[in-house]
Amino acid sequence: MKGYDLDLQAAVRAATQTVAQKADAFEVFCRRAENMQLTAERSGFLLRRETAELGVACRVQTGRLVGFGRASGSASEAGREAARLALAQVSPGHELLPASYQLGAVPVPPRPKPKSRDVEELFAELTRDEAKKAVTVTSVFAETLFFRSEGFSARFQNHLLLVEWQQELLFGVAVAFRRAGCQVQDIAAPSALRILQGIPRPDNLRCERGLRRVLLSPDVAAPLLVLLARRPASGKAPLSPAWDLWDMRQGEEAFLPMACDGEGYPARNLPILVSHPQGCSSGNEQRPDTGTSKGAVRVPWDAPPAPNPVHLWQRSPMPFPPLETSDFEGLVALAPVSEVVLEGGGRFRLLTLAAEVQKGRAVAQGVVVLSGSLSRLPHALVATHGRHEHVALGCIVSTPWLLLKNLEVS
Amino acid sequence: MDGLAPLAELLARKRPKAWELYLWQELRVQCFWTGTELSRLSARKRVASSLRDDRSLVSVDGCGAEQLARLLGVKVRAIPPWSWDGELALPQPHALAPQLPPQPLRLALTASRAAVVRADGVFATRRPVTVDAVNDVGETFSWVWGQDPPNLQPAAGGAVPPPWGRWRALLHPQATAVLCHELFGHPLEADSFFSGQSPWTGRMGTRITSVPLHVVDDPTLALPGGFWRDDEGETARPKSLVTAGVLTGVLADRSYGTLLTAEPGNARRASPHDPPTPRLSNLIAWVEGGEQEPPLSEARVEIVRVRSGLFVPATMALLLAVSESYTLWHGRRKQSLAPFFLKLPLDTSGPRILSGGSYPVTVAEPGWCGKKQQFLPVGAAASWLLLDRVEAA
Repeated sequence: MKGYDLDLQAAVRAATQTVAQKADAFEVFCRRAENMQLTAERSGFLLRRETAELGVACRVQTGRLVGFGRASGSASEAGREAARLALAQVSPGHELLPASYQLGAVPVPPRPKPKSRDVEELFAELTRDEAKKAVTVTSVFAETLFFRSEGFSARFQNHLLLVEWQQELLFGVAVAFRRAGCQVQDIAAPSALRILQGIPRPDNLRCERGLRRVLLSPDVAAPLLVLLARRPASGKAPLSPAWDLWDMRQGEEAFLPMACDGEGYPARNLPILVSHPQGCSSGNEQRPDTGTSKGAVRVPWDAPPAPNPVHLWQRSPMPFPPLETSDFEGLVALAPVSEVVLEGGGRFRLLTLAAEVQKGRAVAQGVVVLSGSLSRLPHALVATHGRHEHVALGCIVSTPWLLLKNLEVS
Repeated sequence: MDGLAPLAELLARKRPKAWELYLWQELRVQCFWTGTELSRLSARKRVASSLRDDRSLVSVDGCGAEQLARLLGVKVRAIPPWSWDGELALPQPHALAPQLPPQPLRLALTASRAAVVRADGVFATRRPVTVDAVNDVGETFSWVWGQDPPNLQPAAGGAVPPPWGRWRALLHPQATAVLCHELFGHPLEADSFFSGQSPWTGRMGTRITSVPLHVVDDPTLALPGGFWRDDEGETARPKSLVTAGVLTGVLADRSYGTLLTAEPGNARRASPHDPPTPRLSNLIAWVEGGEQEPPLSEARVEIVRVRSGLFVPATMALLLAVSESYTLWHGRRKQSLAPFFLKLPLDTSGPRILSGGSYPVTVAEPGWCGKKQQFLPVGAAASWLLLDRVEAA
């Protein structure tokens, strides 16, 4: 999608001219994205989507009042319109812009872009597997420019591959798998599928209502990790020693490295649930006091800065062997069948496809309800199993299998 | 919409052939209601366009000559000058203040319009201005600007677990609306219906409940899911999905409309960046000849509010996430129940509906409906329903 106004600097110039002398300070956040998506519908219909998006978000500050405007379109038009809307909406209650001395950026080294041919080959390989339905492969390129009226600016680029498909794992139960990666090699088949291989007709799973140890696949663990990252910090509660959960925004492991966050603070990796039994701390939960001021990001570009996770990474301090080669026996949650329902009081419920496993193989399977209290999960992690898988859920979650105790199963 | 007719000619000459050029604008104002005043105002304007053919969708932010030339593969000077009919505008959110309750709310006002350029003409469409509210427990509500706001209070969940075993449940209109949305709305969208994910596949024209239940999708009503032309330019019209307990209709877009006898007119998209798919709009449900007053004395549990629903094909059951409910004793409320999943099994003859009301009431939840990561406003009006042999999951 070449040949028209995608110049982010033009958006900043247009916004600057519109705000002129009408505010004490202002910021301009611009993002352009170019996506290429291949989709195979269940009927076999193939759709190729190419998308070019350009959005500008502008915040203006006058005294203690702030206005927030966003617009999409061509660069100069969107910059002008975002600034105009921001000036028209100046009102109390907004977060103030950070002081200019707090702004900063860290380097984001360039990464190779996945080749179109590799993306098409990945799509072809996935669609050859007849069990995978509604396969979608998306290659995303995004460029972000952050500008402050005091003169600070930061610019960085990201590439990401997203893969999703549906697969019927039990009669009538189609599970949606979603994977993310920087390169094709990061996209691996879900290890949960291997548990079900070779068992033509496992017996129906019969679960008595009660508390159990449950081994969660990365696909089941991921939405719970997102909930944990989004809940308010709970202070100094004791943590299971196996937790080492971070929000990665810098370095080699981060799939979406950034120069600065959504408000212009320099980017850094954020500890979410980190226990250091052998270190200087006492095994207590470590959680930065971020509020909405540090580490806030804009997902999507038109949202106000908020402390959302970007790339959650649960490290494996004490890795266990892959499940299928281990002697694990017990209940395994293989894949979510529903979204997580969060009730009042921090209770969650999740419908999952589960299996009773003996010697790494499923002997019975069915749909169960997993439930529990979010506040108890930090104490419930017993161990991790296997390698990391990268699940896409709005943010990215890289996690191995997690063995949790005291989950309610019904 | 001056000047778009020449675009239709350009489109007709384009090779390979394109189905449609889609132009779109949306304006949204958001704010926070503290209980006494509005604060944190912000605004967003999105403009985008797309070109679609049988194998591809190319979309770009903006509707200028530069963008349209890029989509159509012509020079910028070949694009005729055109403009929308006037500016897209929203009413002042401050006008809502006298109607709002003294509780915190997140509010949004949205207006949008689109033009579908096809080889056979140009079709403009405009959505009603909608108001969305989210209360402090995250429940969402939608209504059309100018109408009275609904009850925005959080659901009053109790602490008592639901009864064991199977029992009769009386669903209030809001709960009936969610049930019909999940049980008849989505499963009768053509893509779900023909993918085998629907409990109704292969049962068109058959009786699916013994009571004379009617379910109609009507985009022409002044409810949040309303429109006069769908996102492929087809005329909107009411469509009967269930008539007196018999399955009679499927929601279709043009691609499905050509494959079967269903009429198109139900194509919707969240923006030009998404392909249009068959989607429900405003779902109306009632039982012919039913009473106005619900028979509370015949039910064990009264379901007042439901937050969401999910049909599980493996168990042939509908699960409803109940947020406010009560046990009943001779028609009087006895205990307030904790939130739970209500399981409604479908047997070969469909859901076990014993009776229902004949007067649908407009409800404002869930307001927005997500499918394939496209979220669209939907409206609903429903009456009470009495269900047999349901249980807590």
